[in-house]
Amino acid sequence: MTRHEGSIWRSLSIPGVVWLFLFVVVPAYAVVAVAMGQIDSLLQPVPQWNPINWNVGFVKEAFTSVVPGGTYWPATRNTIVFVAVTVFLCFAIGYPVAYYVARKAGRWKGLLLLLIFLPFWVSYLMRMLAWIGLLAPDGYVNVVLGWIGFGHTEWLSGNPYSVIAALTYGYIPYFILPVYAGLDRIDQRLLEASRDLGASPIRSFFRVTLPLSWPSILAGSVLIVLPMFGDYYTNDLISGSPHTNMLGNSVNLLVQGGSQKNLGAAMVLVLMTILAIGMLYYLWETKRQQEKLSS
Amino acid sequence: MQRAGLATLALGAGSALSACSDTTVPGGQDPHLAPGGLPLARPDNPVQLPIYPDNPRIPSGLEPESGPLQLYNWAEYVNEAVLKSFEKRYGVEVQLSTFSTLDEAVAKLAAGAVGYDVFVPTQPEISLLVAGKLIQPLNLNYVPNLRKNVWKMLQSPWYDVGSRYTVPYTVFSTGIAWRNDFLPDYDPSKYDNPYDSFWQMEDISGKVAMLDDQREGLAFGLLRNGITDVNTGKSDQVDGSKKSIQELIDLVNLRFYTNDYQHIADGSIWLHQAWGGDMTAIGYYLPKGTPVTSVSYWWPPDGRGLMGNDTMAILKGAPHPVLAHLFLDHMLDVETAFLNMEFTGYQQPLVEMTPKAVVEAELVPENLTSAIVREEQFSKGFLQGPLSAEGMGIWETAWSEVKAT
Repeated sequence: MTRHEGSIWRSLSIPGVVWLFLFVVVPAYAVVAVAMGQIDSLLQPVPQWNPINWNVGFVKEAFTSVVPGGTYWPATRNTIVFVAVTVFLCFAIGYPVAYYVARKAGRWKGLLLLLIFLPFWVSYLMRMLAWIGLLAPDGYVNVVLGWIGFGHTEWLSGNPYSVIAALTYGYIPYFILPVYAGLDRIDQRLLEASRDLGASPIRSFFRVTLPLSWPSILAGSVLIVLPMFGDYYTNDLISGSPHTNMLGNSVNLLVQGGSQKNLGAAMVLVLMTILAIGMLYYLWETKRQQEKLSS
Repeated sequence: MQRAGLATLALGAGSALSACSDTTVPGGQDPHLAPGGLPLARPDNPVQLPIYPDNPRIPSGLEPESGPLQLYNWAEYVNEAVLKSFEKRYGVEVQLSTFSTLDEAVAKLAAGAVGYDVFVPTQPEISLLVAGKLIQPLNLNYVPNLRKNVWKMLQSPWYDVGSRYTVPYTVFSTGIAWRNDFLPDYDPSKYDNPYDSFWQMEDISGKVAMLDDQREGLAFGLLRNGITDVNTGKSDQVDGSKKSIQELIDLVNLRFYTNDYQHIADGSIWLHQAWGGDMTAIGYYLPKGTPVTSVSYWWPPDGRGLMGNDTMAILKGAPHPVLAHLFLDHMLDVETAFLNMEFTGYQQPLVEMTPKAVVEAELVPENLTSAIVREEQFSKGFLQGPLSAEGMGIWETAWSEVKAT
């Protein structure tokens, strides 16, 4: 490649870089400026754009409030537990689905993919509202459970199980699709080689398929973890109880709560920090996998 | 050279850090005054809001503009038919924009959103809007219905003596609603302290809810604790309320909603702190086959209960100020108010809007007339008013802690 050709390829990245700067870097810096800003006498946040004049009070308060014993520790704990359980459930339910569609569906593959895509055609909010109807005391879930001998259950009485179930339902398509894409891309010859070398189907799965699909499992997890950490409306709609509050609910309350918008912005920084740790692990793990494959 | 550079950098960083502040309180104002530094209005301390030279009222005798009039209101808080009747009367168009929280609206207005004429703030926020010069003083010559139709005590209320900036929009009680078909033996009036009845409802855990509103929620806790100053700035009282509600959260797995009418109607909640205005319209939300008599609403008959009111104001820099004044007058017309209540369920403080009149007009079911506030009750009730800047911080922190329980 000539030097001239290289600069052409590099210039193609300019729109993306500008886009990222305008819609990722600038808004993120605006959040930092509000979190590090002041409140005026009308109780409105005054962003502080100049780092020299940053006010660290809100950020300190935010970070100390999410550790055990802090005001928002219950919400932090709920967020971590709900997200972890939901990711596990998405894996437990979604992986077999993705595996079946990628490997076993045959001529039904197109139809099954369409069915997986179908929830994207309905807004998340509408799907959650539908769940309220289904989980209502006289809703279909209780009716069906009644037929098979289970007693009446108060699904909407503010319990964490309903929130986790709703989160799983809401986010599982976002997990299945990258995992399906990853499984579909696995070179069949590697599996055949494994079988030729005497591995049983189960051993082939655990020694070949699962490790090779690990990057897509991670990608699917990242895709659902990022929005789930900021989710507040699933909990608002399905529970409404402070016992199931997540960090997103706390941010929502603070940014709408009079003079606490700066603290709300600082809580967003807390979320960003937690997610950045996860993202760093994802990047490190992806790089490690690539190096392993190329070696 | 390198060492000198590092030293300079270190000095720079040091001075930068020393320039950083470490505070979480609003700057530049007396914490005991209302936001913006205005006196704190109370029933025993009426406040005449200042008129600033750079924000004068419009002169009398001007012709109305050609519109369109821009109304900035809460969502679902005005009957479109009322807007149509104004359009017909003055031959202009009315355009409605809505907001879902007052914070969202004030942030937008303070950021310089222009083009709106009429705004509908809740009463405790008025001093903040005046101090921020976001609303303009009224010329009441354009609003004769204020003197003609509105309750006498709200023609010149304690929070805005002389109605310099606002006219009343709605008044509402905040009481207790319950499904009497699920709770046939429940009646708050049987309790020495009716508010305390929520703390006796362990048997129906998960079926009890409070309004998801800082002022309403904490005021409920204050009343339960026997404190009737629902605008208190004393941290021990607000803290006591917070602790009571936190106890209630554990006791009955308390839920927090603003759409009380939906949850009471669909039966997911049996006992709810509720807005009277929402309960008058409950019939529209009840499922088929559930009679409106299955819902009860309690508010102290002697009027010594929690109340609130919303107001109407004209924004500073409104493009159509004369038309905006005429709109305020239109909204205080008796016929308009009855038409408006058909949709919103909320009463306006008009002399002719009595419980009897609204029942006869079939706006409120007979079993829910307790949701209608009478003028003599309003004078005795615990009306929410502005908080001091310090008080606001205390309330906000307490509520955040309640919601993070």
